[in-house]
Amino acid sequence: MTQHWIDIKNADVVLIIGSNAAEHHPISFRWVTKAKDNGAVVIHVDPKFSRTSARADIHAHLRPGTDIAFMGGLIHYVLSNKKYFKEYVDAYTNAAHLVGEKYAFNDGLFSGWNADKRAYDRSQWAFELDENKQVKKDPTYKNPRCVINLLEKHYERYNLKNVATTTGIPEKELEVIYGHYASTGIRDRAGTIMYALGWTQHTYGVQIIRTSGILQLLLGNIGVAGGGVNALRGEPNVQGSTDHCLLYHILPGYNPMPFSTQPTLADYNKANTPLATDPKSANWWGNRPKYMASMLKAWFGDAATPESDFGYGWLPKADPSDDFSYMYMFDRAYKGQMKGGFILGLNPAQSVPNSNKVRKALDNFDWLIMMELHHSETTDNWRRPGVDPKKVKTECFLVPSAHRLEREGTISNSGRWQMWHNKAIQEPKGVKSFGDFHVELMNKVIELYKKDGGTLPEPIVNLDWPQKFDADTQAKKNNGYYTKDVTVKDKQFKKGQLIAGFANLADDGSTASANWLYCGGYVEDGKPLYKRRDLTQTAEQAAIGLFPNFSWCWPVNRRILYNRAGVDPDGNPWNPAKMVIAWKDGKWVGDVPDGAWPPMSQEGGKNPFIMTQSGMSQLYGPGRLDGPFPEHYEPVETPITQHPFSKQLSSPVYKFFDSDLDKLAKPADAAFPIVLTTYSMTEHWCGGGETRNVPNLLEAEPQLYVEMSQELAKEKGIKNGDGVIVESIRGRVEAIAMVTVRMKPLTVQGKTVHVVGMPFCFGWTTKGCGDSTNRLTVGVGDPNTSIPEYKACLVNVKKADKLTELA
Amino acid sequence: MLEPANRTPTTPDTVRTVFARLRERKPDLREITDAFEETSVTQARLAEELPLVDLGEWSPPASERRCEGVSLLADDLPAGLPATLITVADTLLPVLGRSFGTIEGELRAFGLALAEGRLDGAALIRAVLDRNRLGLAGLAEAAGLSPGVVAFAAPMVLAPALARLASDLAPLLCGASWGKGTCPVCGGLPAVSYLGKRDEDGNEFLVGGGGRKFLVCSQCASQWHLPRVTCPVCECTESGKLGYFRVEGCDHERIDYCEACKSYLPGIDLRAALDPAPAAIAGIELVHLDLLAQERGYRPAAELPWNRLD
Amino acid sequence: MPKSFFIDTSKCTACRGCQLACKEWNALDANATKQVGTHQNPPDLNANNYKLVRFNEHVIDGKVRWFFFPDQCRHCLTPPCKIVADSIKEGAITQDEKTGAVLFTAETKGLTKDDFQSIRESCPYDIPRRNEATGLMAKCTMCFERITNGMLPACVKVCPTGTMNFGEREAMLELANKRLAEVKKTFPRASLANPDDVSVIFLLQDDPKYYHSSAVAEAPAPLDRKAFLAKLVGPFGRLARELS
Ligand code: SF4
Ligand code: SF4
Ligand SMILES: [Zn+2]
Ligand SMILES: [Zn+2]
Repeated sequence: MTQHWIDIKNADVVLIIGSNAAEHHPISFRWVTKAKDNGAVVIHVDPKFSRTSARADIHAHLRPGTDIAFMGGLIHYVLSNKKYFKEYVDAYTNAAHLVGEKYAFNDGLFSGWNADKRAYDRSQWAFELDENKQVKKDPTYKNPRCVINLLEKHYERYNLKNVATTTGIPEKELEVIYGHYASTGIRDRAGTIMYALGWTQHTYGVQIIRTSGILQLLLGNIGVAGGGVNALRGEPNVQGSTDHCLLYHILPGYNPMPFSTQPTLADYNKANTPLATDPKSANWWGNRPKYMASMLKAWFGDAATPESDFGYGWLPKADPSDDFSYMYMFDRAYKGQMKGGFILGLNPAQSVPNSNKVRKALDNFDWLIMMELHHSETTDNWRRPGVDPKKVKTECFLVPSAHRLEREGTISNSGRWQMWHNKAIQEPKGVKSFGDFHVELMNKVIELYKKDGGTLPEPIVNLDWPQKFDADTQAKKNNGYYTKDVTVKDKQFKKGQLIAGFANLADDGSTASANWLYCGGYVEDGKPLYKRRDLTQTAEQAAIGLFPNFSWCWPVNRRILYNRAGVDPDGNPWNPAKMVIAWKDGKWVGDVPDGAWPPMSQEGGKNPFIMTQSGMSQLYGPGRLDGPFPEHYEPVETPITQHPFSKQLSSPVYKFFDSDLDKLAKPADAAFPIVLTTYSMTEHWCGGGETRNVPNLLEAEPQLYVEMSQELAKEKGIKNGDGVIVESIRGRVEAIAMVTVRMKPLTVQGKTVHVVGMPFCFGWTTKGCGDSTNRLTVGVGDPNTSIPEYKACLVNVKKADKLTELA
Repeated sequence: MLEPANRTPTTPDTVRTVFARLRERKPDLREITDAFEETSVTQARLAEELPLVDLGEWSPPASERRCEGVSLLADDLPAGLPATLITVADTLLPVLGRSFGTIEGELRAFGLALAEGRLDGAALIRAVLDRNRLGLAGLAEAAGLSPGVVAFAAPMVLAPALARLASDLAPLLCGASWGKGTCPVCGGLPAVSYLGKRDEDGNEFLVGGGGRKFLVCSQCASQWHLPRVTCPVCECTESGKLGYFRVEGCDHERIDYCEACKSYLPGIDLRAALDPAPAAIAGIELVHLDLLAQERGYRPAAELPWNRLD
Repeated sequence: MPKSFFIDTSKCTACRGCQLACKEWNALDANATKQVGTHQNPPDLNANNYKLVRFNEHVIDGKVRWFFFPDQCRHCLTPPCKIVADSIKEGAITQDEKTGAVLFTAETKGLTKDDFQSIRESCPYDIPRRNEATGLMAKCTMCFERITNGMLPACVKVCPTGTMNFGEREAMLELANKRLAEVKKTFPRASLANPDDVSVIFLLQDDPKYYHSSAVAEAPAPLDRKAFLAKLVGPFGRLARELS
């Protein structure tokens, strides 16, 4: 989130799309209803009428996967009706920047398209630079290659008619919703957008989220209270795990993974340290070398020296074309290219799409080590229904894992607040936390390498590795400390002293910090700021519920990101009644500003979007693999054959696999005419591996169901409560029909399209509850993130003669 | 300042109700109930009926000092407080005498000494507020009184006067940042704690978890907020050192204890409590827990007339 | 002093916290349930579920409406179940004078299936259930043990939305009327369900029929109380015949 939970209450319009906030992020919804109490309009756009819709002012049924059409229509509405916040757009976005002559967009494809490589040559989308490598601008917007003009042109096609026929939302409803949201494009009104997996899990998920960025910038809703782009994150600690890089493509603190083309730290830094393209740009990523050196220092300790290139050479390096995300991993396993592995905190046989393939892929492992609370579809894959355990070669080790209540540490909430949690109960004997498990295991490996040697032992034997896991010690390491006595600008720092903030990190090995983002959260021994529970705040802070002294958030306790855009160039808040920061008597008050520089109009002022090269926010963003402007494409499996307003049906660059089990239904496949979307459930947590073992929860939600409209049920001769078979080209799943007015047939391109929805929390290890819904879903992914398209695929539904999975 | 957690008013009626149900629910505590009922009812009545305390020249300590943990009465006392004390003594000491017949005469002597000025009211109040036992004993002896009786009775006489004063001074308390284990008004130690109700903020969706911890002053019955994982006595915040226990089946009554200083504080969870007793006497319903805590070797945060079980 | 619940269904999100807390506190076993086409599960009250959140959905004036009804015994002020039970076996069903709680005692064990049937039929809200294994009758106890020890009922303690409230009858009635006036501004058909006859007062946003067939008693108006009680002559009549 650019904001935090409490800030939602400051919104005048709340748009919840790609999320069922009331059921899955109930705390966020508490603040939604507070906003509503204060007069805000709450809009829910979702394929299913849920408890969120029940409490919203407006709900619209949207066809799964048409979010860009919906959002593009809103952008078009704002631009064509001149509803945008002009002063803001002028001052803080790249609206006036000139895009190079090579950029073009034709009928669904951007320029630079290479059909053989299935990729774009992104250099064709570059900005036009002057002789000093600064971006050229036309503040009068007269030049047709100004970003704002290209934007307007791009979304011209997203008129009400086209959007309605694509999304299934009638034009009249669209107009009402657009009218409400566009009303926030003035100084003293703000709109917030709340989304979750309903947005990310598409073959164009990143671009959906980009639409919200563009829209919020046009309306001046970034950096202000009650605005922002807000990904709702919850108990699985997605926020913390992304910050700390539980993903293959980044290192901690969003530093890119090194490539094989960058053999030295200097090469890496050169490739990843941008140059400012505007004189007023702070260009924060210019600090990358300091963050990298400090991270390597934290990892390799004394072995990380300038001579050893700080141990950069010991890091594994991927080829630029490699993808190690989980769909690719299981594809490799399916092809027999993996021998063994560890599976912790994940139940892939249940939760990875096209799970029939995953289950077969797991059979190809020689050995697997798994950590779980209960037996799961993954731990027990070798004895799954229809498989002879004797024929499965995998040697499985199941390590009992501590429950999250049985361990202590920090968790990062959706608002980036780092919060410490204590151990609530002692874990049973023999049970290990993930931390203990990893530290002990690695110590054993280090010992063996030290004793026996081996190929490339350095990355292992040189690790600065603790004897025992201790969350507090690790938290200190994340924050960082000086590795020797140093004097900086007359100030002395002792070796081992904790570092006050990431501005103090250095690239010479004098500082260690495992994650620069978290630098500043633990600066005094024994007194981590994230343990603070102090509710003190100034009157201005109280007006927006900022609570700066409660816990700590990254970066540097800044609660609302990009807050320098929440003030005019002279430092006066756009909306004084809900100010985030303000320049008063020569200093900033309110939140921690995005940099202490004076306001933009003053000598030494900086542009507010400090993480971009120009310091301006990017309405036009040439960095993504699938285009500088979001364009609506159909899901890979779509019920229509023709893109409603271009010639390119689905994303030209989505990720896919070519194995015999990766079958795709063709567009408007007669055998699979119905759209399936999948979602979480309140009573069961994620894949259900934990909650299905709680008898009272299983009593309340005992079996897999498929929610469908009365119209579809009638068409198919299905009655409420009937057993049905749901089938995609990849798999077949038994479910109980839940016939409901909450699902609705949609009219798309003049045709009726039916949508059904299923939860994914039921698996065969809980007897008679049904089995993985993901046997139906499709193994294709977003080109930027490889996140699978869980939210839309094609199926058929028929009444079952006999049920076995639900027996 | 946050709204107090327990809003059951302390009136003679609400106090009577508590004693009535105490007799019914915890018949074993009869001795204590009999001994304190009339006194508590009278205290409640006095706190209601007492006239405004004359503040005279009094002014609160500077706000920076208060932020650092200096209570309102730490420096000076309102000019009229000793007079109020005498008013209370006139009414309360005879009642106390009837409940504690063995010391009736000494209580009367105490009242007389106060009324005649042989015992300086202001000095007495200061000694109680400063928890200056020796000073208090000295004052008693100088006036020819039994130090034990004065130590027992003085806080009880002072309580209604302080309660009256505390409600007058409440507007001076502002900000949620007191953060101390002692009372922001009089500096007293807590008698009991509350875990607050769910936030009643009119929101129609989630009412909020509640559970915010409030302490009740053993001297003036003020309520203030203290973060939950903080020992009110030694201000230790280490999670491993702080714990609590309950009697099985009773969700709403607990003992919070601290291993660092070996102190404990009885508490009431208002999220589970049906009909909370008024703050000033809530502790008396938890005496069975005092017993358990003291058996386990913990000392009460504040000594109260009914928790001296040894 | 008589106690009452006030259940403000306009705030309920059907989180089912109350349903599960009730099971936990009373140590009731989980039922082996099946999905039958609704989130309402188990499908009905039973000896292991004294509290059940009922789900009902309707399209009203073209808008989808979803109604949640956390059902339970109403602890009637003059409980018909007790009147019938008294005629069969004194002490099987009792009413606590102080709190107004209607309690099924261990004595219900001695009642036959038919006796139970008569008692169930007498209940205007279809609450009584029977544990076939033990023969004991079962329903909400008003958390009698808890309230007599100064604790709120388990369902009230757990409810995160302010739907479930419990306290002195007077205070609950006052709260109920206040909320009704508030809710009526948006939902003019809102009402309180039989507030003069029961200790468990539901606030319904819309016509009771949308919530549950037994959301309100059929002929409960205070003026009709006599007629209402007269209906009970049915079971008495049957009993008399059997005895003679
Ligand atoms: S609701 Fe039914 S079971 Fe409950 S007291 Fe009334 S008649 Fe008896
Ligand atoms: S706990 Fe409260 S909100 Fe949840 S289902 Fe029960 S009554 Fe409704
Ligand atoms: Zn006090
Ligand atoms: Zn302590």
